[in-house]
Order: sequence, then C-alpha cells, then structure tokens
Amino acid sequence: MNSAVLANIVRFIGLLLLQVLIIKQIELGPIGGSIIQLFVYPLFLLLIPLRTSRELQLLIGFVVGISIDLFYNSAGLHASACVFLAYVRPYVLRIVEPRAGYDKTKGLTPERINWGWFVRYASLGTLVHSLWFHLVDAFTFAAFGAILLKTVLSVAFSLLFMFILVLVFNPKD
Amino acid sequence: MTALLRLLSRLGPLFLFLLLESISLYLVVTYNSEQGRLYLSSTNRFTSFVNRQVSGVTGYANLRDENQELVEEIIDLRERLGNAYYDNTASIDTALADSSALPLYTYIDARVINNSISRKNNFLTLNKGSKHGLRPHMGVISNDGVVGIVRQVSPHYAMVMSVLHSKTRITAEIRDKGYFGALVWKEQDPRFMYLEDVPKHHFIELGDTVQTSRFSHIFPEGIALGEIADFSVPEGGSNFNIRVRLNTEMGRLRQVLVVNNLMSEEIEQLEEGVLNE
Repeated sequence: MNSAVLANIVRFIGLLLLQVLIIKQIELGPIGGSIIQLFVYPLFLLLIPLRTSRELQLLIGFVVGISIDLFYNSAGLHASACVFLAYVRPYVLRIVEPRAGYDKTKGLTPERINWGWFVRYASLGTLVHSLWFHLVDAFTFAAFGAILLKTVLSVAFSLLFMFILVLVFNPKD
Repeated sequence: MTALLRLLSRLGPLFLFLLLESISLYLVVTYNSEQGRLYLSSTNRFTSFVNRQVSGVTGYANLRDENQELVEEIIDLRERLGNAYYDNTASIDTALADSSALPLYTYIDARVINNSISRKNNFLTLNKGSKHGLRPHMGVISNDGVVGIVRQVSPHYAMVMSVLHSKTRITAEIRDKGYFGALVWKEQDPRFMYLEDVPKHHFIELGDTVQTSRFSHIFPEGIALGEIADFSVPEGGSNFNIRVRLNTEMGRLRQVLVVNNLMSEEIEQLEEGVLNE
C-alpha cells in the first residue's frame, strides 16, 4: 500500500470522526441551534488524488456518504450528495483550472497549487454538494428560496471549517 | 476488486453515477419520507456505541446546566406539594378527596442519544425501547415542553418524530383563554413553531403562553410549550398566523420523559368504535 492511499485513509477516518463527533454537536448548537448544516467531510472528496479513476471516485463517494448517513440516521441523503460531488468534480476542476493546468502526480492542495485556486475550487465543490444535499432533503423544488438560503449558509460556514483544517494540517497531497 | 473496476470502467462513469445515485435516492425515499419506514441505524451496535460515548461526554460537559435544571424542577415540584400551600379551607370533604382519582399518566425517563434539528424532517433516538414499556404514539416531553412522538421502537431503542418535523400537528391551546389550534413547524427555524386554526375574532396577546390541550391524549394537559412571539392576520384569512417561541432548546436535549397514557387504548377503541358505526 503506498503512502498516498494510507494518507487518504487516515484523512477519511479523521474527517469522519470530526464530522460525527464534533461538528454534529456544533450543529445541535451550544449557540442555540440553527438551520445550518455543517459539512467538513467533502474536504476528503475534494482532496482525492487526480490520478484516481472516476469509477473509484464514485465508489469512494458512496462509501463516504453512507458512513456519514449511519451516524446521521439519514439513509442515502449524504451518500447521494457525495456521489453527486464525486461525479461533477472533474467538471468543477475544469472550470477552475489554472493556466498551467494540473500536475497529475501532485495533490489538489493550496500547498501544491495556490490558495486563490483552492478557495475557488473548494467553494464551488462545497456549493454543489450542499445544494444537492438540501434539494434531496426537501425532496421538492417548492420553497426553493429556503433551500437556497440553507445552502448558502451551510457553504459559508462549512468552508470556514475546511479552510481552518487545511491551514492547520497543510496537506501536500 | 480490479476485475470489478474494469467491468465498471467499461460501463462508464455516467452509468455508475446513475446506479449509485439511484441506490442513494431509493434509500432516501424508502427510509426518510414522512410515511416511509424509519431508518434505525442509530440503533445498530457500532453507531449506538459511538452515540452512547458522545452522549456520555456531552452529558458530562453539560452537568452544570443539567444540575441547574434539576434544581429548578425540584423547586417547581416542591411548590406544588400540598404543604407549600396555605390551607384556607375550613373543613375538607374526605369523601371527595382523591379516592376517586385514578392515575392517568405515567412517565418513563430516557436519554437522547441521537438528535437532529437542521433537516426538514427531524428525528431523535432514545436509549429506551419496548423492553422498558415504550410503544409507538407515546408522547415525549422535557422539562421545558414537548419534544415529539414515538414512531418506532426496537427492544432497547426508540425513534422519536421530533416536533421539528414537517408533518407534526400538536393540539395546543392558549393558557387561561382556551382557544385551541394545531401547532405546526413551518419555518426551518428550530426556535419557532406556528399555532394554526385560531379564529381572528379571539383576543390574544404577545407573551401569552401556549400549552398542551385538554383534547390531546398523547400529552397531559397544561404543559407549557412556548410563548406567542408575534401574530398577524393574513389578508383575506379568517385565522391568526401565530408564531410561537418554543421553551425547549431542541438541540440541547439530554434527558426526556416518555408519557404513557394508561387509558390510551380505551380511548382509541372507543373512538374507533364510533367511527366504524
């Protein structure tokens, strides 16, 4: 097993535990509870190495989502959003592609590319994930305003947590 | 694994995406819809272990608050004791005193081990189940108000439909005024619910207490749920639009009580009998 796989497994477990042990408690609100759903685990999907095949990315997305669902009592909901993010990730990457292009052997991190790029990439990725999540949760296009509001709030606060994590751990790959 | 991946890559990412997405959405529809079965994953061995540990830690972190709440509850109960009242009666009619009163409600204490407040339909998991006498349709209350209604039970756990659920309708009334209506959760804000069906010719005020109604057989009468935060009459409408600020902080629930109505079966049978006539 090479080190990239190992690093990703550790990252997956770390983010899963962070999400279900700590972030979930924050959602329930020491500050009184809110409509905000916080996501840190999409960071794992965003950082999957470029050379991973698309099929494997989708399967990983499904596994990540189902694992989160087990703790949130929300069969399929997180899985659906994760699979969607895994599917559109290549398109997101193309939209934010830097002029020099990507180096397939290097990680999709601010350390390897740059912070401006990473902020755009993570924002777009989290937005896609969060919008899909809230659409499936509501299971209707009615009250689209409320869905949009929840999405925007979720994305803003989730990104805050993700950027702090990336700043602290500063992963290379 | 490689053979599987090779097969999948021949079918293409789009096919795999559609397949996985269908599985996910099938799970969502089957387990998360209001009418569908509930997904009792928080009761499987591993997640329930983790949930119990978290609940243990957060329970410890909240000891101070919980202690304060218990003290307040004790004070409240002491104030209701006979000896806390000045006895103003000249003589007590012993024939009528208490001997005719039958217990109607009993309570089972439980701990919240899983909770959500930010979804459209929220559920809680309790650490007590059918072995402890819990059954579907029982009410769940906390010190501060109503929490929800039991939907499903397993031997050791119960799944509770939170009041923060799009299908919640709790019969509630305005204290001392008796106007009643249905309490529903419309906004996605866990602090507020709406009291519907109160005709606009009634007189209500900001700050009026909303409590459980005498018409409910799930909850005992008179449990304060919240206060009227604001109200309006929608144009052309005949009912008030009353916004109620809940007393309960739904996200911070730890200890709850499950309400057992000892006569619920009798009432249900009676009502069914009339409906079937």
